[in-house]
Amino acid sequence: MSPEELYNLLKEEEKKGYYLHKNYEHCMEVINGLLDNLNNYGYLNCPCRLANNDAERDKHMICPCAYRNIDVKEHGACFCHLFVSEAHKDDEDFFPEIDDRVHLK
Amino acid sequence: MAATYLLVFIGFLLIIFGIVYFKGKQSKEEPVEDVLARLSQEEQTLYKMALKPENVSHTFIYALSTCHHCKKTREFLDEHQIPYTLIYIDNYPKQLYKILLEKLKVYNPRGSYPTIRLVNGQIITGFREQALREALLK
Repeated sequence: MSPEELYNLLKEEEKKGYYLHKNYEHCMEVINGLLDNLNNYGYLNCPCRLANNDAERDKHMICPCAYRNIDVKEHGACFCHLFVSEAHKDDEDFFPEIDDRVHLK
Repeated sequence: MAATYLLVFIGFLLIIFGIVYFKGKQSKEEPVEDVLARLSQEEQTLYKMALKPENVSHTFIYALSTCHHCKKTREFLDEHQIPYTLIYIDNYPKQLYKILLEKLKVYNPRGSYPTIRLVNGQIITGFREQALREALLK
């Protein structure tokens, strides 16, 4: 899968109200991290979180992760700043500080 | 009746076999020293520093190679010419990164990235520009 293909795939999430960050370069950085994890572990583990090489154990961290919706609701963006809310979809410089909800397992 | 005894006996044997197999597998795990010895000198040094960052005379960062928060942290420190050492935990073999994670948890139980240890022992988690400015640029 190419970065552009994954970008387009994730863009489908906009139908649910989760928009890709306006900063395309940033999106591609995150997406390349996702693809690295896909190559290394076989699944799209969040690039900001350490994978355990176990898809079942890590399913809460597979993009879009289990914390995206609540982070977007509370902070306007997900932890990786890949997805943002409609209110921030045109803001190229929107990078709020967000605490990771994941605890080490 | 005999068949029942036979099944119980076979079940018992399977349990014993399972225990022996599992223990054997555990004991066959390669010693950490051997795993470490296969790494480059630089990786070994970095690993040892990560286990004792209090001995490092500048900022020490636990990071992931895929994490953009870590990249932003690096960019910030580079921009302000602040010396630091950084370890990408995910680049180490599992046996070693498990140990690194245990160390990381001491500083940041959440285990998020980057985890930044300043010389004075202060811990900053994530890329927090304001916190870094206050701590390092005063």
